Amino acid sequence: MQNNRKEHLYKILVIGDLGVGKTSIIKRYVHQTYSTNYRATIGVDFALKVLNWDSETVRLQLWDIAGQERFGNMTRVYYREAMGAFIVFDVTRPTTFEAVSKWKEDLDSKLTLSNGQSIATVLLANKCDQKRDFLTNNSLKMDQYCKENGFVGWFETSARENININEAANFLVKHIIASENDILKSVVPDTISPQLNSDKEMTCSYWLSLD
Amino acid sequence: MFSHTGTSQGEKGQLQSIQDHEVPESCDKTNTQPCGTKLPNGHGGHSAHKLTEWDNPNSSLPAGSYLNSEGDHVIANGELSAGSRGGALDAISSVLPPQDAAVDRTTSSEDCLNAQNAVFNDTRSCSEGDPSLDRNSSASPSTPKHSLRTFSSSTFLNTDSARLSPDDDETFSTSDRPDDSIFTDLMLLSQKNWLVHLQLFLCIVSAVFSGFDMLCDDIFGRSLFSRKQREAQSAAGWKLFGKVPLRESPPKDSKTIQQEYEARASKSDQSPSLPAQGRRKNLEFEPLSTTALILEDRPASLPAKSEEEAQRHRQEYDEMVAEAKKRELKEAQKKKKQMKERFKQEESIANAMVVWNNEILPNWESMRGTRRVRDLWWQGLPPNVRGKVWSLAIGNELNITSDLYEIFLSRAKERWKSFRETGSEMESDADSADRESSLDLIKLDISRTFPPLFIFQKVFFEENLPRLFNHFKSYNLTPDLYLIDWIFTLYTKSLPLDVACRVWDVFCRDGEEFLFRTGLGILGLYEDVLLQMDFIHIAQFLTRLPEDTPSERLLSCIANTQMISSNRKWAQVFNALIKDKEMEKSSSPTVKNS
Repeated sequence: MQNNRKEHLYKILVIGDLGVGKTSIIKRYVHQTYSTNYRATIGVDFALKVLNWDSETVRLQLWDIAGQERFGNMTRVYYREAMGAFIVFDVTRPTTFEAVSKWKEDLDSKLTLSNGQSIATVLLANKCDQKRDFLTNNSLKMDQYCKENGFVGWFETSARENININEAANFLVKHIIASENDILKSVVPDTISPQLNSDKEMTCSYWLSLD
Repeated sequence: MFSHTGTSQGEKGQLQSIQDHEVPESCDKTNTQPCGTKLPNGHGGHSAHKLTEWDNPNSSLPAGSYLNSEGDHVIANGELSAGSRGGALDAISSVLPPQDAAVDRTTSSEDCLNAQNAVFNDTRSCSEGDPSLDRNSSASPSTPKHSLRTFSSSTFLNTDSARLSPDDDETFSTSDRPDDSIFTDLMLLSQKNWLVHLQLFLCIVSAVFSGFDMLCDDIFGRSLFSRKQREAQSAAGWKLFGKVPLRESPPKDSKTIQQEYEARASKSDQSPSLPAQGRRKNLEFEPLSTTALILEDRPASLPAKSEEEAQRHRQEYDEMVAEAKKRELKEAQKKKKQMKERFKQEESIANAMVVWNNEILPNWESMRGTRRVRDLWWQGLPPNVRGKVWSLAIGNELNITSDLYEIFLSRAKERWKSFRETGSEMESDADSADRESSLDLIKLDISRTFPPLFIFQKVFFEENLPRLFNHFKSYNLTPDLYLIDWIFTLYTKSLPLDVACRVWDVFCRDGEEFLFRTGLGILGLYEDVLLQMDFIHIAQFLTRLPEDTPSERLLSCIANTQMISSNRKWAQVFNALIKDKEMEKSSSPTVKNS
């Protein structure tokens, strides 16, 4: 731990149907770039984003998982140990929204936190720059949908226009930290850990002790 | 922006007319603005005009009027980095802060450029009309601020230089904002002091070409000309006004500019009338005579350098030269080596091509399995026989013609389309008679790929690279995270194209096994690097391998990879595993996530 800063490392999944903009969102978020060229992701791509979170450092390991059906079998491998997820759909293509519940079910069925809860998941309505009226028409419905389907929240985003991406990520991190604290609370009574080491313990318990 | 402190109309008029005379093509038609030459875009040359004028004794310029040297800031193209590019020329430039406020200046112009064109925002002020070469301004409180706003950059003494680079030579009429538009305020001087002019000019040229944003004349010291300067104040200076160059052509990077400079400078040294070269030809860079001028003593009419100063200049110069030489030499050697390697490679490709075309391809069936052919094959197929060899190696068991291919392709597309529209797999399930050709097959193929993946992890990876295997294991980094990328795209995504082609060469020869062997080869090649990385960096590294992955070294790493586990070959291990799988008859065709 340098500088006595608390470090958190979170694995975050980015899932959703083919071509909804998962990779673009990550590129925008991590590299501040956007490209109109489309290239399908194969398997999984990785990116790392480091955040200063109050006095702590948060490292987000972003897993950009291929949206193609043919990789569906692989998701279990990719989901392992994730702490949060974005499920992305394309506001201009209704079928991608229909697929959201499939992705969510897939995620929840293959991955739960140690307390049995599903991981913090945020729904992203991407490409909102191409359909400006999405929010006004669907806001209430979306709130309702998120409640029913176990999303902690939703954002309309645009990777192209850089709308709401940072906001959505911060929102997700907030929820991850909250759920992490929940778990810690439930664990603390059984744990005697030296105070000095608590930082490390926490990080380790979530990420480094994977094997 | 500009502060005109006491420029007399008469002077202005004079200056203007001088400019008109100098650069007629650049005159503003409205005639409200002074005309000028374009700021050297780091190149370009108007020196023809200037030098001509320079040499032309101008009666209005008294002896002792100099190109102002104290605050020479080269307005170089903003692309030029003020820095180390110049190597040997570094010492000529040292940025001088604006000195005292302009006093008695005929015209002092400040920051004339920044608003107009950010490219030039490093530009400093210039003092037009300051005819004296003030070398002592820092020592003299009453010294006015001097600066030379702009420089025409071109080869020295080369009166043809303006012609030499027509591309670069753009003249502009001044913009509608005169204050922003001054680039070429050259004090032109009397003939008597031509050497000083020359020196300055060379410095300017050097600096412009070598990529400095600013050039301040430290070389000549600052303590020389204050006396002269006073006398000269009343003298009219020469000005060239220029306009902020529009970025009509993409700016050159400083490297190019330097190269051009070197080429041009060396050319002009030898034969001024030769056209400038875009690039220097000879890689051994000799610091130029322009630079060497700093070593010279000042003209007799000027106070001499102090010993200390001269010493310092000598030392600085030596250092610059040494550094520049070193750098150039290193670069040249590297390039030479690369070229040599390339020639060698090209030659061997050419030789191999002959062998493939004349000997092997005509006798394909009999020769394909021979040791010699296999070795040649391993060394990489020449690009122009690659296609033939690949298709021969793959064969065509199903006798697929291109028509047949088109038919199947359109059927597949149709199916894919309806599949995407309904968004379900029902379509293909419903058509059970046609199952084999359905989209399920694609998924099945992926499933089929899993067993080898499993073998890869459990058997061959661990045996070949135990250290790396354990390192990966400690991060729980399983091969599916990178191997899927590799295998599904046959390495076209992760490897540079040329390397991927080499892999395909042998893949066509040896089949699937080679893909896994390649995977181990890559891990072996980068083992040391990977051992230093954590999870996310390994994952990123492996999904996008370095652009400069060396194919030869990779191939030799692959060659060193043993695809034998406990005396069983890959195929044996693989078949055994498949058998196990079939025995299991598990409901899912995928490998269980372990």
